[in-house]
Amino acid sequence: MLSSTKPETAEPGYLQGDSNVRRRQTVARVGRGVLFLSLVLGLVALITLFVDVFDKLGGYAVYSFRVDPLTITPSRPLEELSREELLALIEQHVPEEAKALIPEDYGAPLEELSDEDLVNILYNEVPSPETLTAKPLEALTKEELIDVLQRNLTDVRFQTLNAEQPFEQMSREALIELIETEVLQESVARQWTLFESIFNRDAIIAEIEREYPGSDYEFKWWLTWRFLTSEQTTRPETTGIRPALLGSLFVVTLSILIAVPLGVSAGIYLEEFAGKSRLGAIIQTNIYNLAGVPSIIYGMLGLAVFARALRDFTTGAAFGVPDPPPNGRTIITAAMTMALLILPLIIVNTQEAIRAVPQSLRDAALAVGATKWETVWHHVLPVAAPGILTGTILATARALGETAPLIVVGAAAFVTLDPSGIFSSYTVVPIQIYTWTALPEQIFTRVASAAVIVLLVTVLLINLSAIILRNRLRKQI
Amino acid sequence: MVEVRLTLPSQSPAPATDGSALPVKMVLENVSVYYGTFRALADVTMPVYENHITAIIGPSGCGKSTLIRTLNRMNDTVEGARVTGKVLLDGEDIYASDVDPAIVRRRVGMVFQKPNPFPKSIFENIAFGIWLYNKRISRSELSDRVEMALKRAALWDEVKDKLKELGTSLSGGQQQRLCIARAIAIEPEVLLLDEPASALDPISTAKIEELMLDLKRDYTIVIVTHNMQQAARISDYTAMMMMRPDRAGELIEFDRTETIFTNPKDRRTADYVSGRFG
Amino acid sequence: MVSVGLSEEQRTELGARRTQRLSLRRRPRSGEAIIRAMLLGSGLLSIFTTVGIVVVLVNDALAFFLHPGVTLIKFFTDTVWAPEFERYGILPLATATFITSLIALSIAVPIGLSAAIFLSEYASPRARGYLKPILEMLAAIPTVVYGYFAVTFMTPLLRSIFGADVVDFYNMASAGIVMGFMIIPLVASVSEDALAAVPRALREAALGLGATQLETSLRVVVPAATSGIAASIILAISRAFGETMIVLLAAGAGPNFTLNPFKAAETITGHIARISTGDISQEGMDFYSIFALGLVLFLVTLLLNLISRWFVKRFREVY
Ligand SMILES: Nc1ncnc2c1ncn2[C@@H]1O[C@H](COP(=O)(O)OP(=O)(O)OP(=O)(O)O)[C@@H](O)[C@H]1O
Ligand SMILES: [Mg+2]
Repeated sequence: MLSSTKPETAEPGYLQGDSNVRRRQTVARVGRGVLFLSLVLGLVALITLFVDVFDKLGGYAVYSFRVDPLTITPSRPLEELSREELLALIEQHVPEEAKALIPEDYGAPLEELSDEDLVNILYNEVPSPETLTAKPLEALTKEELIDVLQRNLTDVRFQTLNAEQPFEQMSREALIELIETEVLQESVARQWTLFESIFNRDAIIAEIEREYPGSDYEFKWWLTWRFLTSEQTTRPETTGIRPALLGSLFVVTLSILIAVPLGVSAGIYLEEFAGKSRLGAIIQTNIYNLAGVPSIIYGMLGLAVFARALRDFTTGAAFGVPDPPPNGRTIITAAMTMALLILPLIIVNTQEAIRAVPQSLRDAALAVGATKWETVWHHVLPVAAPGILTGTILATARALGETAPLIVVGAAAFVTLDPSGIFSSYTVVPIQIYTWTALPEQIFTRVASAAVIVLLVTVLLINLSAIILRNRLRKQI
Repeated sequence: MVEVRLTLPSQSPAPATDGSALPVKMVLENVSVYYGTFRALADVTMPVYENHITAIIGPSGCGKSTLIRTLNRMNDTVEGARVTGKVLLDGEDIYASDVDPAIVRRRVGMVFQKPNPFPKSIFENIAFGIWLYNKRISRSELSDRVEMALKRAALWDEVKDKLKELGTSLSGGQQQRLCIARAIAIEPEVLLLDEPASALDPISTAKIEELMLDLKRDYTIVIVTHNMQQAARISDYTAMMMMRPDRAGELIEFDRTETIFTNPKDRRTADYVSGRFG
Repeated sequence: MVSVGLSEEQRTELGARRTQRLSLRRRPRSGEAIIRAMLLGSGLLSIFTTVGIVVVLVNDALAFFLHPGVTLIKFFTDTVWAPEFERYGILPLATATFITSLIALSIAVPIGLSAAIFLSEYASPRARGYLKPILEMLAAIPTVVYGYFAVTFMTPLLRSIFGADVVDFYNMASAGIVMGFMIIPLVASVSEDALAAVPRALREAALGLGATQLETSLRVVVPAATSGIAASIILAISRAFGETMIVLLAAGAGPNFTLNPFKAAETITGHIARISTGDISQEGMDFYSIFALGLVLFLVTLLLNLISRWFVKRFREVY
């Protein structure tokens, strides 16, 4: 690691100098260590961030039901039960102290009471007597399960679910799960983090059995296929990210479609046509300054121009689109705002790519009688294309992760519908992360962690591909 | 300082030392070139005779490339470059304001010092120039003309089976001949070559020299070279350039190649061609 | 070697093609003129964007300042921002912006700069080849993720260290520290560029005089790259002032005039974002006031960027 020129061989006569050299060498070694440490510190920060996100992504979760499952399953009225069955229920469910008091309260020992009295005992001494005879969900047949769904869901919801996947074709387990989420509103009462769950497994399970006896618990991951493909709801257990994924796809694609032609054109103009003109210099300086403008300012520009001044156009009202979203909060508003934001990035990258094309190539084309534009179009751009592509990829990643400007132009509304066109309202993945993280219920940060992973992995993969592409290009040149 | 001035009535047969009158293809009249404020070429006046080879020789940095690039307005591409004086092509000033530089380059083709094929297929390298001014050309005619250009550049046999391969995948000598083929494919009237053989081995160089002697019948050729033997072997006329103390290049002698090499009027020319100079 | 001359027939053909010699005159190339105009237009769009930003901010900020009761002096000196009481003092928002940025810089500058020195002066080219892309990746992480990190990791950490009664749930320290992490790659990569541009000869001269690598780095290379490093720091300040998501999530959701970093306080950007999150009407003082704040933010960051570019230019002139 460290290649130090060693001071060990100092001569006695230079004792003074020797100690000085030694001191300097020590300082040098320590200094190097400090410098290295700060680099490591930076990396540790990055790793901590990832670890933190993963830590929230899964872990043991205890569930509680908002609705008691036994209240929704078929049960027999207590009056219809036989004497033996009633006695068994009392034996099982009536607390010992209450049992001890029965002769006093009812005037006779249990065995001598009438069936009617037995029923009364159950009604009086058990918290929810009507559930006593209810069958647990697990014991129901498929038909009974479907019946439970039908009785407890609204007709519309029932039809929708049935249309998504016909109940007849579902397994019993799947039906039970569906009842748990849809009817019982199963919710996470408490969840431990991933690392706790891995390293403290036994303690957690012991605690669950002590504090939440009889409750369901499992190792729950938040990033699931269902999460990716479901729409947004108000409950962490059922909410999903599909509209946001589609929203991101719409906004980013559209902004790239707007920004790339404009940015590449501007880059070509600056590199090939502006020369040393004053106008070119002004535009160039301006682009560097735009690149440093805080992204939220772009949001304000979008808010004032696209969402307010041009509202009739950005909501489609001018084109007769019915039910325009309020305040111009549409995909096209977001995309145009984002396009302006990534424009400087694309221009600068295009310029760099064009500058890397050797002059000899332009000379070759010009020397056979091509005009300036023919040279650029047929020879410069194809060679610069991979570089421009790199810039575009980086811009895509940027657009995907930008949040603040979209908050300002108004993406933060609660959106459950998939975007259907450029005039629909929308939400995007980073906005979802923001919303979920900002909610007071802690459990939503677990939901947010799943969205963070989705965003982070996408953005980093996109960036990685840009870096690889660029390194390849460097090698070629 | 000796100043060589050829006063030439444009378009008229030039006075040649052997007494015969030759048609003039191009004429430079008091041409100076500036790069920004730096004057790289000072007051050059010389003719370029039709269907002859004119060699430009001189020490490095004396402005040979600058001179040859004024003949097809390639200097336009250099930021801050400025040309004064007149350059006539068949009597017309190619620097006149209403002249299209692209068409000048169409009529005055150029081959550069370093081979610069397009990073495209061999076929496309040649076809691009042809197609540019004849966009409705049929595929078969295009193929014919590509083939002819490659044959004339003595490259056909080597590449006829791999026309789809990249031009940049050829060897250095082959690339340079590809560039020559590209230049003659557009059938210019004048062909400019800036040290076309400087980076090549003797065999490739010999091929290119032979090619030029052959092309001479149909083209007017101007060639910059550092190689005295090459100039002596192939050229009919030679322009000798030198750098003035202020680093501006000037033409010190222009004459038949024989005369330049056997009986130069200027001492510096004699020193240079005999290798006694720099 | 046989090269192919032209047959007589081909020669006549060539001659014929040449007799219809191309005229040197310019031909009308209208398509090309249109393309040129479009390219120029795209270039000008960036100017329009800037003009648009200025016009939009000034226009609505003007509506704010022309409101009775609002004056420039009060705007810059009042320590209360409470629109419901018609008090619009930027100070609480500005101090919060300032404190979070200060915390961020005090983390990002030493670490980023040290990392840059290590990368440029000590790391082998191979190691640099791996480390630089990692820095770039760090820079590519969306800021909302950093915001998430601040809320779910940094805040609980600070509260467990200093006590939940000392550290508010929303606090400037957490936002500032995480913002510092976010800015490290910016400082590191811009400074590294500056250090790498210092000529080798300078280093070799110092090493030749018997200086250690550290002395060479700190006493020779770093001073030589001062302008570039200054540029990176100023750029970092500008980035910190303009950063929104981290402070919006972690610093606090209400203006609060305090210098205590463990207290909640809203920054300028945080306030703009929060106000525009709700379904606010696109008229009225709430709406106009955020444009006044935006204008201040824009002017300050613009100034910082200009200074930073001036440093970069000066640096380029030296080498
Ligand atoms: N693009 C340019 N900008 C500024 N100065 C230039 C440019 N091109 C050439 N020069 C200068 O003009 C002078 C002549 O250059 P030129 O390339 O014409 O010389 P040359 O005779 O072709 O040299 P060589 O034999 O080395 O090719 C040189 O001093 C050179 O530095
Ligand atoms: Mg030259």
